[in-house]
Amino acid sequence: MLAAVRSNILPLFFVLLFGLSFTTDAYAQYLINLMLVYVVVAQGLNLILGFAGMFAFAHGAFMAIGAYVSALLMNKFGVSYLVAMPAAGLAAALVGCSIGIPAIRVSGLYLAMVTMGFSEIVQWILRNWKPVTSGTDGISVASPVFFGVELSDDFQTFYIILAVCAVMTALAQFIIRSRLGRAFVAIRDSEIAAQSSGINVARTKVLAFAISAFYAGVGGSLFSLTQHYINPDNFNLYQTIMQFCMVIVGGASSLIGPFIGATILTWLPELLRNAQAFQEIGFGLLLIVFVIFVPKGLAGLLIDKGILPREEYSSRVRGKWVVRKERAEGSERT
Amino acid sequence: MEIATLLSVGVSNGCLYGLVGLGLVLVYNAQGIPNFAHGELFMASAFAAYTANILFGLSYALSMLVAIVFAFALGVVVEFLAIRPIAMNRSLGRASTEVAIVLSTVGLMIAIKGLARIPWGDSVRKLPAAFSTETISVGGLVLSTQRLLIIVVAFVLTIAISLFFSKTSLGKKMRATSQNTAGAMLVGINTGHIYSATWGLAAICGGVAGILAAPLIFLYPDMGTRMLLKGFAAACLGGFGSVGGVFVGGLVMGIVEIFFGRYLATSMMDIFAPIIIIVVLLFRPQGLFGSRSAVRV
Amino acid sequence: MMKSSLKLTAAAAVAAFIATSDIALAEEAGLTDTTIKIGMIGSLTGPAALWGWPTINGAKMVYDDINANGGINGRKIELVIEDSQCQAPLALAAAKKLISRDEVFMLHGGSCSGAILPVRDLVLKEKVPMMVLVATADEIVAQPNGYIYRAFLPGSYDGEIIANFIATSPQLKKVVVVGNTDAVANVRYPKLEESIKANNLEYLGLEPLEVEATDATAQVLKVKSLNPDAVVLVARPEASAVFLKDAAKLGLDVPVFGSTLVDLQDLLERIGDPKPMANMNVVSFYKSTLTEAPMARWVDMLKKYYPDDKVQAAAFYGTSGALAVVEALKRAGPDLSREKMVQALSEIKDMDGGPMACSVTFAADDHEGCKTGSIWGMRDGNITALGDSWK
Repeated sequence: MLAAVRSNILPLFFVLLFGLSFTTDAYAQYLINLMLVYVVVAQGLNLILGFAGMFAFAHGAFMAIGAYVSALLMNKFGVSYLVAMPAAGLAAALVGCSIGIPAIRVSGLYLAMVTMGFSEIVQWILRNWKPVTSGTDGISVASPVFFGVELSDDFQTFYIILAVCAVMTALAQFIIRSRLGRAFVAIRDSEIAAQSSGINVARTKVLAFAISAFYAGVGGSLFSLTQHYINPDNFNLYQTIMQFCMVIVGGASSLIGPFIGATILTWLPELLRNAQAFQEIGFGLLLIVFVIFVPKGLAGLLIDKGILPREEYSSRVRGKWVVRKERAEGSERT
Repeated sequence: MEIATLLSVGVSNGCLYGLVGLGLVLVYNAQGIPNFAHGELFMASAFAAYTANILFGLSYALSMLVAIVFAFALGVVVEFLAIRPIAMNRSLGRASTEVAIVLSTVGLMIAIKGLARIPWGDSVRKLPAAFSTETISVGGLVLSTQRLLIIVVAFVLTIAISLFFSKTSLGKKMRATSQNTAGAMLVGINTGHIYSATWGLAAICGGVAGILAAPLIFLYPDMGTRMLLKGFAAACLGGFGSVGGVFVGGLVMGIVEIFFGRYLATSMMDIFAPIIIIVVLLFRPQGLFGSRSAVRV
Repeated sequence: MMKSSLKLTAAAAVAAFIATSDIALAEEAGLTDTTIKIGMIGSLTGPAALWGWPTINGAKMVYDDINANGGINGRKIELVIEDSQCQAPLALAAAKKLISRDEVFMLHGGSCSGAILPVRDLVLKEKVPMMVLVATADEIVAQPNGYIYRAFLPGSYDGEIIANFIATSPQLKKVVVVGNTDAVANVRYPKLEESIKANNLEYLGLEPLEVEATDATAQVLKVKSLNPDAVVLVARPEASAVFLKDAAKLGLDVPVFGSTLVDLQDLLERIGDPKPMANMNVVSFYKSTLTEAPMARWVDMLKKYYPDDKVQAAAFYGTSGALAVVEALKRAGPDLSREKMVQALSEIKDMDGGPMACSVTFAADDHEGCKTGSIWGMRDGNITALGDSWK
């Protein structure tokens, strides 16, 4: 039975959360929802940071774009959430592309500064473009309506968030196991080698940006459902840093890493509510300690100890993405 | 007259940006990474001066000295504890190592900020200016003595650091290491010491800026964040290259920013630095001067 | 395989259920015969910690004092205090924890408007009475709203007070506004502009000033070039101090009118020199300066219960709210319920605002209890209260 648990840990995780939703109170349910939102965002960041090895400091901003686009579509144009959410992801992906295309011209870590500057500018626009974003006043987000039923409380929105998170996880798995995913890893490990083996480096990098921003955009849209109200402060530097923590602590370049990271970084602060003065210090130290001593994150640690199964980056997927089956030596971390 | 006033303030602000930018450039050239914790070195040094001067009652000059020594020590310690273990970990690829080091500086950024909040998060504090006469009037132009001090110190420090790199043996070794780390190791340079020295020196640049700026602003744990962006902008304008380039980059940033604010839109002053960073890096990554292969520090 | 994983899930679900099922189903949440549980939310840590414990303790001392004197109708007030760090997701988590886990009777909280706005929806839906601690945005208390009350001057009102005050000096005709553009400042501008125009003054526009401004030369020179008769300064203390120092240095010597974001005494301490403030007037929440008689009772109370706290303006922002809560609890009687509490709050009329320069009056359709403030000015180097007759 243990082996079955090991090899189906993610589906089991979703089933467990589904079961829990019948017993939790509003507080715990809210945290579970928030955690799943962060799983989606962290998966996106993981794709670019962990798999493609690009340092982007912009996921708070991508998340903001997603949140605002979906909220404005619903509030101002009465668009259904079923349309607004993917639109939010696409809008973020489009912006991700437009910052990604020029950004690949600058080498490696100039990217960190370009993306950080981009985040600041997005913040400024959110604060100053008042006719659209309402500035610092923020905007309330309408509850989504499905077939005439308004999903307003945490227990109801949970089903949307859980479903989207599951789909996004499956998509991440598909990407990681596809040729594209292997191209990410190849570029991370050596751009020159990747190029010489026929990978279009520029196109792959822009795709990494776009896909990663898509995740953040969808995550932002889900985030707005948990809050019912968004303002620019939700998406500041602190937000981006917390996402870094999730990816690094959970385990970069691992599918399961974002789950572990998002779970820990959502619940730990709540469990330590009485020691919040140390929270910033704690986040900072966690990041440093993991980067130095546990570079593969908790997922890597658990995999090495044999508690979690090795992740396969090859795939049973057919068609043009068919690749040969291989064990993931690529899981050697950033 | 108005132009002269704006110029005097723009130049002194620019000197601060240049100093902060210089510290960023030193680390960038040594290790190829932007140091996101640099603003916190700026903040920590200002608080060190405050602690020495106000809490321990040391004389002003001595407090400044203490703060500079503290900045150097902090830079060295941070490099040793949080950067070197990653830089020395050969199991990672180059790109991964750099990403890991940047993440470590991000961790430092919020950890140091959080630490500073414990004693100082409750209120903003004030450090007195270096001179008791706050302003002097030159032909009707009112100048702040603290701002004059900033300009003089920044100028002297920039020249001193240029000389340090061109004349001293440690400076030459640092240049050699930044140009070719493996080669430097081959000829017997202890690159570990070089990295310590680089971080120490970078921290001094940030620290001096912090100490000089503190009397003009106020001391609070978040004071470094804005400065970091402005320092990045100065470094980008200077092309992440020569010491002089960054200094001029800072001046350009300071002057353009204040004239822009006065005559176009004060509301845009907030995002002036990020706009400069993006525009320069995307369209002229070599900075305002020189070619891509400009001589590195 | 499928079977075993289901079994595991079921087991886990049962375990989780047992862990969370000890929630008692009381008749009314947060009440026993001897206690009333009140949840407080404040920004205790993080960048906004300046408004954290000082404001909490200024409210808490009222509850401490009531408890020391035997409580209300035989019940003592029990507080559960949670941190929001001024961030919406954490404030919402804190509110949900207080309501569904701690099962408090009511809330007294909110020190950042942006962080507490999402809590508004929750509180209205759960029908939990709430007194706002120190967040100033009008939207928090705006109608329709059956449960949220505020007993201090809301953010938009000081603009009206300033404009009315400026209008009493006939030589002041042209007014320019200088200020931050963060949430706490932005809530003040629409009403300020409207009131300036309503008083037939010429509005010359808004010059933004960074919250973390290190220098205001550009702003001061621009303001000078507009040649105003008065400047309204809507900025946080640090930025205000920077602006005032530069204004003095560059010879901008028109009267300056500050919002409730700054306190004259505090500003004087920061600048350390009364000269740049010679022409300064400020709207204040309070009846008098902290050193004068009307405030003595509250200063003494703070010293009694929190001797380590600094006696500063921020210390008493939450006091009037606590006084209103206590008054309503008394009126609602021993047979307490949330609905009775809300009704009792709505019936408060002309209650002394304690340290606040207003009398607190609520109505069923108006939960802004305190609509007046006083104006203080620097006169001959001393802080002088100029009265509270400008609304």
